[in-house]
Amino acid sequence: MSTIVTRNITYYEPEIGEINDFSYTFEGNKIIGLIAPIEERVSVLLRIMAGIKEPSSGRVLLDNVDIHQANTSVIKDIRKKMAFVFDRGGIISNLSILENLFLPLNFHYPEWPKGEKLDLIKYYFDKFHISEKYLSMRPANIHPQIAKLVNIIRAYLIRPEIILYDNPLGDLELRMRKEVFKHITELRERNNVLQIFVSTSDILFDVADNNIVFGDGRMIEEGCWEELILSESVITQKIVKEYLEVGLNEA
Amino acid sequence: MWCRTNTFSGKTSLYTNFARIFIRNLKTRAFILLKYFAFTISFFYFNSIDLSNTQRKTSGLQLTVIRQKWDSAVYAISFIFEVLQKIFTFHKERNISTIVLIRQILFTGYEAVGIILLMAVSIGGIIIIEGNAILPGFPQSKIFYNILVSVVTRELGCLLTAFIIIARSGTAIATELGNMVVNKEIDALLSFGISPVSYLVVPRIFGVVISIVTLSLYFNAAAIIGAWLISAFFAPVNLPDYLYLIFSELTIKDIASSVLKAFSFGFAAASIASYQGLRVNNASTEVPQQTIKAVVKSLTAVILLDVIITVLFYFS
Repeated sequence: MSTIVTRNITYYEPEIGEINDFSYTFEGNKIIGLIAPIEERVSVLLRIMAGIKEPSSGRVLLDNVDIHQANTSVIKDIRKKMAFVFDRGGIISNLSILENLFLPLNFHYPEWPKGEKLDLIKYYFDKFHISEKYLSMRPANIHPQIAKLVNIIRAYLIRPEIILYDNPLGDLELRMRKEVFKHITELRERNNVLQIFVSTSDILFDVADNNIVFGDGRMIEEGCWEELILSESVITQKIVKEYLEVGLNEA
Repeated sequence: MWCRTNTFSGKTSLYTNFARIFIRNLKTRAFILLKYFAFTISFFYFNSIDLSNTQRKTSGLQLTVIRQKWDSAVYAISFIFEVLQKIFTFHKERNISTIVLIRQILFTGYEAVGIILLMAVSIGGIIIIEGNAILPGFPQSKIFYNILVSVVTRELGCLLTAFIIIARSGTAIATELGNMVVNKEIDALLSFGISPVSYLVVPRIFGVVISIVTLSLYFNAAAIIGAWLISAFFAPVNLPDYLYLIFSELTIKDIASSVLKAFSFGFAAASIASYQGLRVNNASTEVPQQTIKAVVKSLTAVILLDVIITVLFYFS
């Protein structure tokens, strides 16, 4: 079971967001939510943890390897353990959907037979009720909801031990949201997968094992959703209220 | 340390995320000595600015401009080293990069054949027409073959091919990579552990180099044949005799300089276009700005390289 440790992560970028001195150990077969006021973009922390963005200072250790400093021979093995689901974009535009899904598989598992890879892709397409006709299309020709599901499927394909989701339910219609939500909760029950997410919807925070609350870029407190609803912290109360309102509007 | 506190902190740095990654890679790899040599010189240089009266007289804005230029220079050096390193490890990721290389050759080489041939035949014809206007019977004089070899083979073949490639593929590469940054496609590659340089930049460099070298050979051949075709209207020359006279004027040195030029033009054009494309940060409005810079810098680099190689080969 893989572990992510953040040590004194600090990041500041105008208009993007800030993180101040965040240290935490993410481990176990859990779903963990990162929650902040909607105007604060805590997803930048997710990107730092994924090794996509470099922090201003601090370290991110994945199984004791610093993902921002690891050399190229080590980084490939590390990345195989972790997948990132983008909120928007992230699908290579000059490749077809099938080529997009083959890319991480060919990179990490070149030894797998092509047929086996194709079967795995088709299994997930079937699971999320996506027509196989999309496989030959370019990302520009598919609906953003399908692109989002392709993003999620691409993350699952490499069978990672850690999945980082940037707003996994955003932009999805109700039926698709249910499928993704169901799969996330199923993963916790069936596999040893650590799932960390940022979401604009309260329903994932509700099922999360733990939620970490941020205010002004600092970690304020942590707890399950019920605990946060009863929290005495003014900032937490404000955040929870915001998310509950969003949830009510969506409902 | 100087870098860490001044340029790597999010507050002051103008680097894109990829620039930081390239720079970090540079730090951890074989060129570390060279980098520290450059940093040491720059450290003393900037310290000397700080200690002198110049700094007091310089406004904050000017200092910022100097820092920006310095940031750009460090990014460019890091990028070049990253590219050079990934060129030698290209074979390790060929299972995913080969398709990018093939598509680049198809777009840059194959699809440009028509325009290259048209331009080459026209240039060959123009030389004949202009020459004949000045000197009647020009196609039968020895100077014609001299001019054709020196102008077309040594210079125009690679130069015009490079210009066409910069206009077609240089802009396309910069725009494509810039849009990929905006659409977080580069982030996606990083999240898989795929280096954007080895997957996107190196195949494009190989593709453009192969295409320019091949197209410039086509250009030379087409210009020679075009000149012969047009000469048929003024003073017909027997094709075997014509080719014999052309090849007797052509030396190994001419061919070598032509190939070297094509090779270096291709490398420069593709590297600059990729570099500028990856300099896009967040907004799609940056894409055309970087594309313009890619074209201007590529043209400048090609002209300078042409001068350098010509001087190296023919200045005596």
